[in-house]
Amino acid sequence: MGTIDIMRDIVENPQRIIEDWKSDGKKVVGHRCLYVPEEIIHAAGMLPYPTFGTPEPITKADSYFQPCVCEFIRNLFDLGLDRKFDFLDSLILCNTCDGVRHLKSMWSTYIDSVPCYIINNPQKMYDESGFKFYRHELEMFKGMMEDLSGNKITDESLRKSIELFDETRRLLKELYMLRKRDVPPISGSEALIVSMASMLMPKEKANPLLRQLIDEVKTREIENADGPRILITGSIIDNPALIQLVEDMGGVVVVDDLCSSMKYFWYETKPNPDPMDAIVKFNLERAVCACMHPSQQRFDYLKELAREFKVDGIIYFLIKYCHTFTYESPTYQEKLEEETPTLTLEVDHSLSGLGQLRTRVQAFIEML
Amino acid sequence: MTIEATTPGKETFTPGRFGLKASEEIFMATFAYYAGLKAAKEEGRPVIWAYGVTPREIFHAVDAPVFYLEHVPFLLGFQQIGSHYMQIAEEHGFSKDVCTSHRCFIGCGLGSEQEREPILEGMFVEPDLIIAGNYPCMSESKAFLCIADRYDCPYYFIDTPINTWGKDPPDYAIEYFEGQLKGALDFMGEHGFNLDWDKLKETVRLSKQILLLFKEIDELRKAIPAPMSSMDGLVTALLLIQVLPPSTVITLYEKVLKEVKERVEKKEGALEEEKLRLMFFGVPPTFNMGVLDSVEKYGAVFAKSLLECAQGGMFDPSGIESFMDPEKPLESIAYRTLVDLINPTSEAMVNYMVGAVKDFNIDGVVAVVKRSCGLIPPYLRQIKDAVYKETGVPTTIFDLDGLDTRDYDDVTTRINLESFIETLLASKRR
Amino acid sequence: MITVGIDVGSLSTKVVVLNQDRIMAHEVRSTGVDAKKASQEAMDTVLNKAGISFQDVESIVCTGAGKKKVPFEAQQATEVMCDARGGCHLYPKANGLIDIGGENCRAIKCDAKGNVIDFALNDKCASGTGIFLDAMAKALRVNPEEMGELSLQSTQDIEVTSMCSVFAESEVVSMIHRRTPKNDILRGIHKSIASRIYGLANRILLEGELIVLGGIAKNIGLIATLKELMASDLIVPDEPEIVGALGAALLAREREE
Repeated sequence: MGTIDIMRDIVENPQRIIEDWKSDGKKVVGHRCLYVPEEIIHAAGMLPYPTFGTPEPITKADSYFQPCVCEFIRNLFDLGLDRKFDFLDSLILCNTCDGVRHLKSMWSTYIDSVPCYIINNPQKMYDESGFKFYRHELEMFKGMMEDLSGNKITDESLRKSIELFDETRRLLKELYMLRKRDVPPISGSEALIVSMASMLMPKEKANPLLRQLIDEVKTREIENADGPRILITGSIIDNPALIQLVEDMGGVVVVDDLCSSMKYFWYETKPNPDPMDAIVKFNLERAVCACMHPSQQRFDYLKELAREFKVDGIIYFLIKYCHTFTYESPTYQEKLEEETPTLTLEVDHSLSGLGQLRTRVQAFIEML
Repeated sequence: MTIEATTPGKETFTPGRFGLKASEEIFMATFAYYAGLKAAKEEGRPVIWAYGVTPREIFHAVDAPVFYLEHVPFLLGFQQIGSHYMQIAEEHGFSKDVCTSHRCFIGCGLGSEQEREPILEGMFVEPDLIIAGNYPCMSESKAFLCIADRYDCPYYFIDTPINTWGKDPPDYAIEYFEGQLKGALDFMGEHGFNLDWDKLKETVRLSKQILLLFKEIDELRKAIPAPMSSMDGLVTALLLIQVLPPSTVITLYEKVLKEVKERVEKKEGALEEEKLRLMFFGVPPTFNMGVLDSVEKYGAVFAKSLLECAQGGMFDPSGIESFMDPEKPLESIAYRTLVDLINPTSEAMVNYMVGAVKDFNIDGVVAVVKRSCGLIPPYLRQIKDAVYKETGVPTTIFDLDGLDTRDYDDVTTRINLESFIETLLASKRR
Repeated sequence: MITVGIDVGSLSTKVVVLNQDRIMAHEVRSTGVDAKKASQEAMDTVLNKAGISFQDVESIVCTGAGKKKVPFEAQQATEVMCDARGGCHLYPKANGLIDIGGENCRAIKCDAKGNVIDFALNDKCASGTGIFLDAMAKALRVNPEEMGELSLQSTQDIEVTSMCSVFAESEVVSMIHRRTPKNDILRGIHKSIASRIYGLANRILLEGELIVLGGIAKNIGLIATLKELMASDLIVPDEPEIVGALGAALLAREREE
C-alpha cells in the first residue's frame, strides 16, 4: 500500500489514531482554528486533534443555531450533539470568527461531555501590544494544559515540540513545492489528503511517513496534467471530494491554500530563545487567515503563490454564510484578477448541489 | 432614479408612534447632525467614517466630525430607502449573506453621485479618514475595506478583545484595548485632531452622566403601564443619540426623563389595561415600526426592547458608578466596552435577558432573526431556553430583517405576532 | 351548544359544525377568487348537511388567510391556535403538529394538555406547500391526487436541489426534457418538500408523536418521505384538512363558556 493510501485511510478512519493513543491512557485535546498552538498541547503529552467536519447535511444543529450560521460550525455542533467528539478530553477554540465564538457558547451550554475553552487571540498582526496580550492568553492556556494532563510544560519540552511541528511543516512544504513542476507528482486531492492526515496523526508518526512519501513521489507524474493550473483557496475546506471535482473538470490543482493545508504549514517558527515568544510571533506574523488584520499581506501572499506555481486560474471556495471571507470577496476578486482569472464559488459544506458546482467549474476551466 | 414601491405591502407601512415629544426631538436632531457634517466638510474639516460601535468619547474628545457607518442604514431604513443602497452593494459583488446594515453603507459609499437619493445626498460626506475595528462582529472588520480602497483614505483598526471573562476582564486585556484606543487617538492626532487629555476626561465624565440618565430612564420602563412606545425606545437608546455632542445628549435625556417620570406618575401608557407585556429583541422593522404598535389592538405592548445595535452605549448600565472614572478615561472606556452585553461571547447577554424578563414583568419575548447577521441570531436559542427555564416566559423567534424592505413579509410578520399573542393570552387565562 | 368553525385558506375553505364535541357536518370547497362568496356558500351547504339553520349556531370562530372576509359575525383566531385545539382534541397524546397548507406551513409544539408552547411559520417561500405541488403536478402532467403514489414507485434517488419553487420548476422541466422518469422526479420533489418541512419542524425541536394536517397530508408519498427524515411517529387524521376548522369550532365553544 502506497503512503498516500495509508494517509487516505487515516483521513477516512481517524478513530484508529484515537484508539491507539488512548489505549496508552493519554489524553486528546481537540482544537479548531490555527491560533490554538498545538505545540503547547503536545508539550503537555497530549494529542492535538484538529476537528474536521463531515459532509453530512445539518440536522439538530439547526434547532440551536439559526440556519444562517456557517455550515462548518453547525456541522461540528451536530457532531458534538451526536457525541461523535466524546473522545476529546477538551475542545479548544480561538477568536477567529463569529461562528467559532458562538460555537464556544453553544457548546458550553448544551454539550456536557466535552469541556470547551476559547483562546482570546488578537486579530491584529505584527503589533507588539498584540503579542503581549496573546502571550498572557497563552500562559493561561499553558496552565490549563498542565492541569488537564498532570504534566509540567518546561521551556525545553516546548522547544522540542516546536522543533517537531516545524519539521512537519517543512516536510509538507517540501512536498507541496514539488507541485511547481510542469507535471506535478501528486494531485490536488491527494495533497489535501496528505495534509489532513499529517494534521490528524501524532507528528512522530507523520514525519517519517512524509519523508517516505517525498521519496516515493520523486519521479512520479500524475496523469491528466494538460489542463490549466489551478490555485484553490478558501477557509475550512475539509473534503478532498471538492478538490477532486475541480480535477475531474480538467483542472490541475497545484496549490491549495486552505485551513486544512497550506495555511497550516506554509510558514514556520522563527528561531527564538524564548519558546513561548516564538509561538506568539509565529501565529501573529503569518498572513493566512481572513480574520487577521491587515488583509493586504494575504492578498500579496496569494499573488506570489500564483506566480511561483505558474497558476492559470484561481478558484476561491466560499463556505456559505462565512461572513469573514464573503465580505472580502469583491476586494479579493479585484486584487487577484489583476494577474490571474479568479472564480468565486459558494459551496455548501455538505456539498449538496454538486451538479451546479460542476457546471460552473467546468465553464471556468474551459475559459482558461 | 426614483424608488418605486415595488415591495408588496409597502403602501401599508406605517411609521412608529412617538409616545414622547422628546423622542421626536431626538429623531429630528439625529438627522440634522448629518446635515452638520456636510457643513464641516465645506469648512475644510476632515470627516471620519467610523463604525458605529466605536467608543464615541474618543471622537468627542478631539471634536471630530464623524459619519457613523451603522447609523445611516437605520436612518435610511426609517425613510424606507435603505434597500436601494443594498442593491448597489450587491451590484458591486457583495453577497446577500452579509449584514444588511453593512451592505447598506457599502452601497452608500460605493454608489455614484447619481445613485445617491436626495435623502442620502443630504447626509453623505466622503471620508477623509476611517476608524475601523472588529467590534462586535467580524462583518465590521471587513466591511470598511472597500470604502478605504474607493476613497483611498488612511485608516486605523481598533482590535477589541472578545469577553471571555465576564464582569472581570484581567488588567492585561484592559491595557491592550486601552492601547488600541490610544492608537486611534494618536492616528487622529496625526491628521489634525489634537487630543486634549482634560477634554477626554471631561468627555468621560459627561459620558458617565449620560449613561446614568439612560439607566434611570430604562428603569422607568418597568412601570405598568409602559410609559414609552417602541419608537421611543428605539430612538432614545444610545444607538442613535450618541452622534450628538454629549452636552446636547444630556439635555435631551433630561427632557426624556422628565416626560417619562410624568407619564409614570399619571400612569399614562399606550394602553390603560395591559393584557400582555412583550419584549422585542433584534433589529425592528425600521421602515414599518407601526407593526410593533399594532399589537396594542390585542391588549399587548412592547414594554421594553433590547436594542438592536446599541452602539457605543451600554445595554446594561448597572454598575456604572463604580467603574466609570473620569480620572482614568481610557481605562473606563475600555472596561465599559469589553463588558458590554453585545461583546461576544453570549453569556452576559443571556443572563441579562433572564433578569430583564423578570424586572420588566415581561410575558413574552419576540426575537427576530436578521438572516445576514452573524452576531445575534446564533444565540437566540440560548436566550430562549435560559429565559424559559428561569422564568417560564416563552420566546418566539422568526425571520425579519429590519432594514431591508425587499425581504420583508408583512403578512407573515403579523401572523407571527398575532399567533404568539394569542397563545400567550390563552396560557394567561389558564 | 352548536358552534361553527370556518377555515378560509388560500386554496380551500373548510367549515365544521360542532354540537358540543360531536361533529355534525363538515364541508370543504375551493376558495377560488372570492373568499366571501366561498365562505357563504360553504356555510349554507354545511348547515344544510347538518340539518340546522343559521340561528341555531351560538358562536362562530373563523381562521385562515381569509378570516377577515367572512360575511357574517364571527370571532377570529389564528391558525396556530385552531390547529392545536383541533389536533389535540383528536389525539390528546400528540407532542405537536405540522400543517402543510396551500400557501403556508406551520409547525406547532404542544404540551400534554394541548396548549401551544412553541410554533414556527415558514418564510415567504412557497416550496413546502400545496401551491408548489400543484405547479409541479401541472409541469409533470399528473393528477395531484396521484403524485404521492407515483412517487413511491420510483426506482432512483433524484435530487431536486433548488430551494426556491420557481427555480425548482425549471429544474423539473429540464429533468423532463432529459427524459428522467416521472416517478423519480416526483420522489425528488417530495424529498425536497419533506426537507423544507423538516427544517421548519427542527427550528422548534419538534419530536415525538406528530399530527400532520392539511390536504397534502393525504399524499402518501410525502408522508413516507417525511417519516424517513424525521424520527417521529406521524399521525394523519382521516380528514386532515378540516382539523383547523374543528379547532375553530372548539374555540368558539370555549370562548362562550
